[in-house]
Amino acid sequence: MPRWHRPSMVGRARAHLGLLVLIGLVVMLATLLTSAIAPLTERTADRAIAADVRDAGLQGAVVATVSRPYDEGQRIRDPKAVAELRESAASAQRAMPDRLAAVVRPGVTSLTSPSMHLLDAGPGRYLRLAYLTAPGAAPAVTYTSGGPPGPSVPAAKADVEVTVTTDPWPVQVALPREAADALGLQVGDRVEAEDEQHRTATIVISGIFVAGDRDDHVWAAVPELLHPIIGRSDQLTSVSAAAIVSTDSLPDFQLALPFDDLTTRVVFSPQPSQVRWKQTERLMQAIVSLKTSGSRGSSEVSWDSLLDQVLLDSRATVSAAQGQATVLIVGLLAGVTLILVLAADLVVRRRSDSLVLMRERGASLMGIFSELAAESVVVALVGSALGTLVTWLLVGDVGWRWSLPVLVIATLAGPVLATTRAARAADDRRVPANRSARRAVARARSVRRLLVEGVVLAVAVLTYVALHQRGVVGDGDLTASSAPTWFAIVGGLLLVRVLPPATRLVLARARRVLGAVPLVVAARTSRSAGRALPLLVVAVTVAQLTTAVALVATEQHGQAAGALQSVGGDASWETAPDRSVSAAAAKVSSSAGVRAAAAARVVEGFGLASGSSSATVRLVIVDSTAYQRVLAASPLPDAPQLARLHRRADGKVPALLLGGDRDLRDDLQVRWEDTPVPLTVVGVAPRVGDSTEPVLVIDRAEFESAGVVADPGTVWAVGPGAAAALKSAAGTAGTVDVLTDVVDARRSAPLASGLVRLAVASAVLLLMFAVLGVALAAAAEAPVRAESLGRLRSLGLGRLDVRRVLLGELVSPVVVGAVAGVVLGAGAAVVMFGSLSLELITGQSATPGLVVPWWTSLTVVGLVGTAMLIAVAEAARVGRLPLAALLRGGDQR
Amino acid sequence: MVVARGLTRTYGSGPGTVHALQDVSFDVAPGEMVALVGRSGSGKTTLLNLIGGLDQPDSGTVRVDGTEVTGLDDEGLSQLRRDSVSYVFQTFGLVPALTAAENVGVPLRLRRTPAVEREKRVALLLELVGLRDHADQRPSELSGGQQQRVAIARSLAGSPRLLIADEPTGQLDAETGLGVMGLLRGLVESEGVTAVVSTHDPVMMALADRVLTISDGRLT
Repeated sequence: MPRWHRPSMVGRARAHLGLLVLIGLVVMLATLLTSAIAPLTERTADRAIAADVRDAGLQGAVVATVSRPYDEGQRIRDPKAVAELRESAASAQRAMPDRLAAVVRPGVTSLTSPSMHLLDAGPGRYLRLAYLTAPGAAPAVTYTSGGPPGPSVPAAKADVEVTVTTDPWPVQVALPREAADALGLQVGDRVEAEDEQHRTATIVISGIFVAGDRDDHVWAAVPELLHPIIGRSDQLTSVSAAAIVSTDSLPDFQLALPFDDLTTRVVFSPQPSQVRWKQTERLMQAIVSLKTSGSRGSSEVSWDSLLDQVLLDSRATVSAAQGQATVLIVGLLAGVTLILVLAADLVVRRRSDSLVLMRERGASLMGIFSELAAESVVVALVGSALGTLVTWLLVGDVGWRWSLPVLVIATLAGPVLATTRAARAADDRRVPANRSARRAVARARSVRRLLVEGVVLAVAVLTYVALHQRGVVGDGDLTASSAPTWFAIVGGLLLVRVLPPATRLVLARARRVLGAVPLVVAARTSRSAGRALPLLVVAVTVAQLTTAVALVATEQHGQAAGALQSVGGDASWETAPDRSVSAAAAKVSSSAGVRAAAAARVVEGFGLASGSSSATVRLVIVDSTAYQRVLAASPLPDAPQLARLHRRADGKVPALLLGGDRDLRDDLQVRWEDTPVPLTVVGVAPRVGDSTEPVLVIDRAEFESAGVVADPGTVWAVGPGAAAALKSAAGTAGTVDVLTDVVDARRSAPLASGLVRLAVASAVLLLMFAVLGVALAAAAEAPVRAESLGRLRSLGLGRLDVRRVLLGELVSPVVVGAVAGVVLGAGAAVVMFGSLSLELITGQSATPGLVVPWWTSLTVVGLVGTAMLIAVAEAARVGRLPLAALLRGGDQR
Repeated sequence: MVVARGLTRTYGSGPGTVHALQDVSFDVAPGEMVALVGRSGSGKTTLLNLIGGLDQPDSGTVRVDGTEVTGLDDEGLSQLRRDSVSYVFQTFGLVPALTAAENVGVPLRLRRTPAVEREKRVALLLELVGLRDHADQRPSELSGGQQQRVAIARSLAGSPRLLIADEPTGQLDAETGLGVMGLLRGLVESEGVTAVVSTHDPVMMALADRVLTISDGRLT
């Protein structure tokens, strides 16, 4: 172990305290961000998973369907029915794996009938009967009339088995207020109902209630209870509602309906806040395992859930977001690395004389390395500790994964560069006296450089291929995620290669100029053009900054475009199809602040058939003239082919088709309410909504002229008053989606907003590093410049010309580096954004269009401004120095 | 050509004050070559700096060709260096980024001499200093003696009236130094330039028209 000379170490540190503090500050800032990334990423992933599970609603529930043993015996009113049902629920609960049970609520057990047609009040009224029970207190209800359902036998017989001979057997039910109003039923009504097999049941209304807490998850087990489905079509109103059966009337319920009409389910609703990103894979495994588990115990239990699919989709989105975040982090780390190396290089330059002296006095390279490593370890650890502390105070947790590279680079950059400098200074083979030996050394240096550049290029190609082939998935794939950064580095190296010949051309032109300033600027720039590090720092940091800004801008633009595509205008109204919707749309279109409105019937997943093919399409039956006006008035793409929908040929209804195979266009027809309507495809349909399935657009008037009725259920409106007009037209019917709300929702989603925050933080840090890079690069050459300027001033160069020389010398490489950075960043975005799965974050069906904001070029302005400020300050400093002292100082060097 | 009166220059303050020059007065006639001799730290460089306007005296005046140097502002001093006074430094003072020809051409560019005339003059001077074949080489590619010859050519490029040389052979070996001194003497004569040269070299003293000796900041 070499012995340290502590006084020298302290002296060196004191002499360059400012630079060491600067390095510590860079480490602190970098650590502050990088140590926060891991905990924040995990929290964001948790929030995103929870949001997706919450949005999935009942689809995310785990449902156990319990098959009841077939009872071939007598019809017996069995009071133990409730206990049996509870046992079924307990059995399902026991079958559930612990890790899954931990993220779902206790099961809500239901015994439900199918939706039964009420016979005594005309067509279109359906009622489902449901018995609901859950652990803990039953959901609170308040009876506004009547009371809870009671037994259909006298109270004395309620608790004993009773053999029943009456058919149909009545069952008492209670109706929610909404259902009673929609069905027009009152307490005491006795209605006959029949199932699909026309088997009848007698239903007696015992009471009408309102739910105490409409958000109680128990109600979600049978959604029609509190949200009856009301549809209107061709002057006919249909109602599909539900009623509850009580514990007392449950034995009657089982008797009143045929055995095979009743379904026992236990619904386990997920608790979104309990679902963690890290658990999702195991949860999916547990769900899949449960779904394939078959029977359990005495009852046949089958499991069903879309939660695994919800988690799978959510994991894909989170993985994409993590991959994009990794792209940003790798870019930031590249910037940190370069700036730390540049700062270390400056320190080494300032210490060059003393390092050479140390070596000449016999210090070993290991000794030099260890002394400087001790210093850099202290600086790096202090900076890292402060950054980590601030992160811990702000975030409450820290992650080391991304901070360790910063610490390692900050620790090693200085000692390695200094030791290399000391080694070269004392190597007498470095500048051999023999000319051919000098050439050999130059050739060897050139080969080494080519080798390094070749390796960098190979790595860049490898990362690009990886990105292109598999995209970015999660935060563990550094190969693919580092592709944009390597792209920028290769671009920077290319610039370093191209610049010297380019500056030589400029120098040749400057030689023909009359004055001295252009010649001096061109000559000095030509000499310094070969210095790779300062140029790389500016080009790579600006490139990463541009990529980060482009990522945010592209996603935000994509979110807006996706929301517009999804909503279909500034606002849209979805309601039950009804003829009155057309009139409402016409009224909306003439409202203040509405530029256009159109009504349509939109059917998702509509089966379409031609002579030789079939497909599932989004069917849009629309007032095509009005829709054309909507498209023209909105930023959505115009669809002039809509005008063709009025050109009827051969008795077929003209249609526009987007997507689907070629055969679908031959002998196309739709079957609408059992009526076949032949179509002829006359053009390409506009994309309606954000679905990826084929779209078929038909003019409603033409369609109805074929003898069918297609009442509209959707209205799109465009204009600043669209939302208000649609809300006014809708009243309480259906839902109104407002574009601005949808955009806000997409942008404030956990992953989208998290990515924006990370990109902004990265961009700010990278901008700081770029500015710092300009300053450090200027500082590195400042003594040499001052010496040259002193010599030129002794020849008569005036103060103004000194400033011009400095401006030219300092600004020109910054302009080149910064412009190259913007081009490289934008280039990386053009080439690679298609592989980053941005559409998973924007909610679009395709990769969003690239957006590189014009104001990214302000980075160039900012950096040039920085260089100009440095030049002016340096000119003032050089001007203040007595020329005699300046020249003497230069001579001493 | 040069009239110096009562030049005083001190550095620092308090007990550490260094009196570099104390009430120095002398004249140099046009076309005269004066050698300034003295031990290291005697004030030679300080005196040359004051004559050339590279430094300002605490008191006293310097006139060069009738212009009071000590009264000029920064622009006036720059003008003086462009038109009347040139320097040759011990460490040559060439601009490393420029070739030998470009270094020689800088004073002409500063005077905005037309390109044709400039190139002719540069070629002539490089010919005179024997470096015509090294015109496109940078200072780092030249030997010390060659660099100093480039510096001398540059100092004469603008046809100055006064040439100030601060130990021009200080970093050269004896043989090279002798060649440079001979060259300087010859060019001063051929170009009709007044020269003040600080030196330790007896040969240089012998080549000078007059020798001024300075000791502890005073002419003796």
